[in-house]
Amino acid sequence: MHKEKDAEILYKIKEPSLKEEGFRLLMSIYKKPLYWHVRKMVMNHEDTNDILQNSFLKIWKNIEHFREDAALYTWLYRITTNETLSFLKSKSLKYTRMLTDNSQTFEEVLKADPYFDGSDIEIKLRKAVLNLPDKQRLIFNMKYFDELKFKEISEILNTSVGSLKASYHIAVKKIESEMKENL
Amino acid sequence: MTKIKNISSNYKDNNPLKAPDGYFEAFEDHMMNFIHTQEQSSTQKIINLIKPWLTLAAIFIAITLTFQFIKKDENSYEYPNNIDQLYSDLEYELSEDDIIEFIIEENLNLEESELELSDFSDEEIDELIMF
Repeated sequence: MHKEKDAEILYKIKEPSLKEEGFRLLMSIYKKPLYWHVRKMVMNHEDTNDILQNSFLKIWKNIEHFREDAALYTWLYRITTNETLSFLKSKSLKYTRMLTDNSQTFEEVLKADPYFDGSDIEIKLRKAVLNLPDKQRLIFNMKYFDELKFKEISEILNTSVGSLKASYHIAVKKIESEMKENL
Repeated sequence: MTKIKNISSNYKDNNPLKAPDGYFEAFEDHMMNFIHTQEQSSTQKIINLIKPWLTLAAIFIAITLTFQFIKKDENSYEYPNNIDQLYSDLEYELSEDDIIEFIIEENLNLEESELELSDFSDEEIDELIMF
């Protein structure tokens, strides 16, 4: 993704006097893709911000132990994804009730969200995606919205490419079916 | 129409989710403040955690040192460990001249003080051996 910049980031981070400078460079490159990666999973900005803060804190604490045999973005995505899944697991009851059990509530939540600006069809699409189980939703978002390759997703989620393809196929069918019902 | 490929051209690139104005611009500064605050609070947490134990350890060391100091002061004379040491200490303190001087001053008659076995009767000797 940003191989030259990654090398500069890692060089600076390993020099104690340049660590903050290197970390600021890392954030300037990866804050947006990671923000949207989380936001698509939890929808709400405040929760996304909390997850992103905790993820970057973990990255700051552990980056010196990062082994360069993997791509930096793969490692960053993995930490952020784990943080997101932990969050969703801890809030699953509240979130499931609020976002998926009642379509009216979900639509009201999105329409009332000052940081959501979408049409009814977009709301339905987002709702169909949110109805997917967490792992399927994650795979769908990474493949469909982020346009990552299955091999890259496989490295991030530590899952086989075959299993990812199967999950993605099931997710697409579920979304198409739900969209057909609601349109 | 409901195929995901058809929907994608309309909605895939049009992200209806928005971030608050200025959020990304201020992100690095905000994040560094957050990191420094977290690090300070975690250091403070460790200090708070070990503080009572450090205080207890300091009190214990202070009591032990005071007790040892007082004990050493009271026992400044070291008692001899065995009889040989006792004799060697006495020999060191009393020279032969001191002993002779003492005998002369006290006018002691050593010959008179020496007891002969012949001074005792056979019964008395048996009695002494028995006990």
